Amino acid sequence: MNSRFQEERRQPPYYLLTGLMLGLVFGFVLTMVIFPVQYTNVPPETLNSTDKDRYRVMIALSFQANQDIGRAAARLGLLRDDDIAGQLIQQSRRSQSRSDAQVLLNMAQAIQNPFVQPVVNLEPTEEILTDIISITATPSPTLTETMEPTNTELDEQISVTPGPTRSASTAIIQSSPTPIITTGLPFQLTENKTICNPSYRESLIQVEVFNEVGEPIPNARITVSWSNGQNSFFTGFFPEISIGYADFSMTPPTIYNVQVGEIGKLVTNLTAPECKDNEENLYWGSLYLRFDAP
Amino acid sequence: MADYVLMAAESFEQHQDLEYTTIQLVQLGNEHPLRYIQKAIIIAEELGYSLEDIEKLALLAQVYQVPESTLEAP
Repeated sequence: MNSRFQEERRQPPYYLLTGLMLGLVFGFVLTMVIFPVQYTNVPPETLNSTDKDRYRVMIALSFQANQDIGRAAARLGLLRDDDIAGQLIQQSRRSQSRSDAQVLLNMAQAIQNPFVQPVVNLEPTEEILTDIISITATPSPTLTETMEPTNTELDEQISVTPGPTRSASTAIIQSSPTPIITTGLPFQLTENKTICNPSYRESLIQVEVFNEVGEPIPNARITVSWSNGQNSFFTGFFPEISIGYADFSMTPPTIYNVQVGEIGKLVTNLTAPECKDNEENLYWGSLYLRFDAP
Repeated sequence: MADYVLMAAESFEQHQDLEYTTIQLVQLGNEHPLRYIQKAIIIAEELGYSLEDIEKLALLAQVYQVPESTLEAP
């Protein structure tokens, strides 16, 4: 009898292994596909870089609305960035939306220089809203100025401005912007050419600013004025084109004047040129202006 | 989360664009934005947010509670 049992070979418990494998697969599918883990109420510092960018934009938009730099700084502090203002500036440069870039820069400047008080908080208008949402606008004036920044006049400027309504999206008027080292240079116009490119969706004044050795300069302040308005913006927000580049959207047939820096020579009577496409259809072209430091 | 919703409410107060605010709020998850605002109000009250901030949240919640037909009317 014993010999008969010894002839039967004992099988290893494969069914246990199979059960374990099935259990693992089932658990994996359950947790990864059917009921994936959803993180909620995580601290902002644990967000991935894309979400951190979104968070910064949210903070900047909120700051634009309430002008509460203390609250904005506290919120930014939750991200545990080493260089808060630097991060904001970097993000503004890689931002796909010009309006986002603008609000980020405004906040960066406020963080860097908290004693400069933004003096105007515009009433909400549809023009501002359109600019915030539709990101069709042109680059990025970092600061918006009017000659006499009263609420009433600023509102008027937003509603009647011929071209750069996008500038209203800043909704911030700074009395003294971050120091610009190029401000005191007497930039001169060295090139003025008409650009007829039907692929441009807007008529632009494209400005490129160079130093005395022919290198493009970022942070050069450009002032564009027209009969009933003025706008200022800075080079450097389109590094993919040139760090000395900035542009401005014209509204034909408005006549514009352009000045680079505080004492640069004023270039007057600029207006969108007429161009013809291959089918002889007229369209508004753009202008390219090159300014060089002497 | 509550602070994020508050930021959306603060910016909404300025630009008054519900669509844009909705885009901001749906980043929080799959629930209706109103649900997040309601949660934010509860958390804000628990954490002792100022009355002004809670009012901002409440105003935004009110906007979402308006029937769609009213919102779409010209």
